[in-house]
Amino acid sequence: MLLEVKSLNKTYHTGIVEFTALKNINLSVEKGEFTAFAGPSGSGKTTLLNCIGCLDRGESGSILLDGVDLMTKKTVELAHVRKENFGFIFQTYNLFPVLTIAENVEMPLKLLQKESQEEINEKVMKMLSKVGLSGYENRRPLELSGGQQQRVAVARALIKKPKLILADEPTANLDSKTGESVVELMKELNVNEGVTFLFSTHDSMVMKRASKLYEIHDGQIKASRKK
Amino acid sequence: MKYILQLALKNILRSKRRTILTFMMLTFGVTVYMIMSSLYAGIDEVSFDNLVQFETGHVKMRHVNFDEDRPFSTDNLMTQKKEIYEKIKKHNFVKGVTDRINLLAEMDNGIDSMPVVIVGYDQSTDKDVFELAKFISKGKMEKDGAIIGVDLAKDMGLDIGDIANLTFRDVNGMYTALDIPVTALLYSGDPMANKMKIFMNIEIVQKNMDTDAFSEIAVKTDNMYNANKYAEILQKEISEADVKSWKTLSYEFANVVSTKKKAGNFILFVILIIAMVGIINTILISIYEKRREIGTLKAMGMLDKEVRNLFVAEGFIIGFTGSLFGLVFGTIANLYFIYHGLDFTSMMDQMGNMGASMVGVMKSVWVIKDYFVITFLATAASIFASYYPAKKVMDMQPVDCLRTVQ
Repeated sequence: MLLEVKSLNKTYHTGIVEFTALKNINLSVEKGEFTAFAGPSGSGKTTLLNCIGCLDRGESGSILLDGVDLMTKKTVELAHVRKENFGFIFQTYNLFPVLTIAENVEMPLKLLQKESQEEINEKVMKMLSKVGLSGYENRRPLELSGGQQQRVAVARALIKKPKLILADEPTANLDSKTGESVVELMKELNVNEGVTFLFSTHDSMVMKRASKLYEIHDGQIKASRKK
Repeated sequence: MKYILQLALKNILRSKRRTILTFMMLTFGVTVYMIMSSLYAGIDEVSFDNLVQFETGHVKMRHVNFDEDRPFSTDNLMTQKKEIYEKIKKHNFVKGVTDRINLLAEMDNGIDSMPVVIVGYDQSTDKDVFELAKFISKGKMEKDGAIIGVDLAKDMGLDIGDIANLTFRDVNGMYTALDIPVTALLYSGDPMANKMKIFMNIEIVQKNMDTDAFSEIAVKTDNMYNANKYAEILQKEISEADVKSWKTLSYEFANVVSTKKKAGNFILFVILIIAMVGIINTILISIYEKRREIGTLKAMGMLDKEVRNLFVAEGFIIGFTGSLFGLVFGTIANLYFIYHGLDFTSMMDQMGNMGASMVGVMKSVWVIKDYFVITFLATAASIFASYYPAKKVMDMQPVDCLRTVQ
């Protein structure tokens, strides 16, 4: 078991108002799975993804990654967990406009500080080739289309070969055709390279491709199915 | 750290206009400080030189009971010239010795009269210690003529070739009148000298004073900066005189210099505060604009302190390069002020010399220390200024940054 979430709860406090975002969440993700959280806006998909990705903290319960409970980790330790284990793909791509495509993709490896620049360059070229962006390495993100930018984000998330890639509505900002090609790319990487994906979506096309689907409503898992 | 610096540099170049404005503020401040500091240093250097060359020599000896409140009293006159000269000249560090006599007199032009100070100088030895000729603006030094201050000449309507009428008391208290032709005009850095002093042959003064005594002995040494030490040596051997170095004698002027330095430091302080406010503003806006990118960096595992260092590095780059450019512009400006100087003659005529003992053109000098001090202070201030806003980044949760709508 790669990831196991047990009895996870999360409540937001705004002044005297309390909002329960996640209620007794239990789920599991196996290595190599292509798992999706589906549900309407405000259902808690992104909050759940953020808690799993250590970007936010749950209030109670546990999140086990390879058997290690992330809920007990300190802030600095969580940064290391993110650096070593997770790749993120965001709805708005979140690329750095001042950096070239190659510089954006290499960033996780630079932060890891484990490889030489030559090794990093080689990996970046291979990864850009995989996502169909060979020859774009010296361009800036704003010179690319939305679909191409999301492909760069996928490449950036994949470059360090993380245990788990967390994608928050990766097709939401793309037209259906472009969105489909991005999901197709992720699926290919999942099937061919065994990359584990966990994403939130309310796109039916994405849901169809998921090997496991959790339906979330009002912060609770209402149904799950496995293909 | 290298990667963080590279990222910081790219971030800075992203908001070029804002960066250039902050950068220019710092550059301008450093340039102004460089110019002022070098100009002050130049004025001080020339002023001290002028004081030494015109008034004090390296070491000055006066009567052991010299009364500061009555400097022209005949009680202050010294004798035993031969004995004292022998004690002085035996030292190898002594390069020149001369004596002068100072007395108070009244100058009359038939319409007005003015109090003046007569300085009797030894025409054969004075040039061994002083450089009176350097301050002659018109005419020349003559054995039987007088050199009078330019302002005094103007006030009394005198010019070269005119006769100055002087009256004073001799050592016996008897009034003496002296008519002496004006052969030169004096324009020194000391406004009081320009307004009140008349230089003439010491023999003429002593003859009219009915004495062979003198007011002071001035000594030139091999190194003016060792004057305190030399004064101590001479004082031990010459008990009949009060021996002081030019440094001690110019303490009032040194106080003015010290005040000017404080003013210069205050200007630097104000410049740094303005630059710091600019940098804080730049970094705060930068943080606000890059909230989502900060979130993304944190999501990718960049540690809070590394994100903080990224923004501190932005401040460092702005501060360091801003001060470097300031030094370059300051150096270019100083090249002009060092080789051509600034002519303040007309301003000095109207406002006085503002505490400096110098005339006309003010020239700057290189102050090498400034290059290190300014670079260090400007960079340190920039790092300090960026630290506070950068520290805020540490407290920001990645999820809050990523949620930002931009």
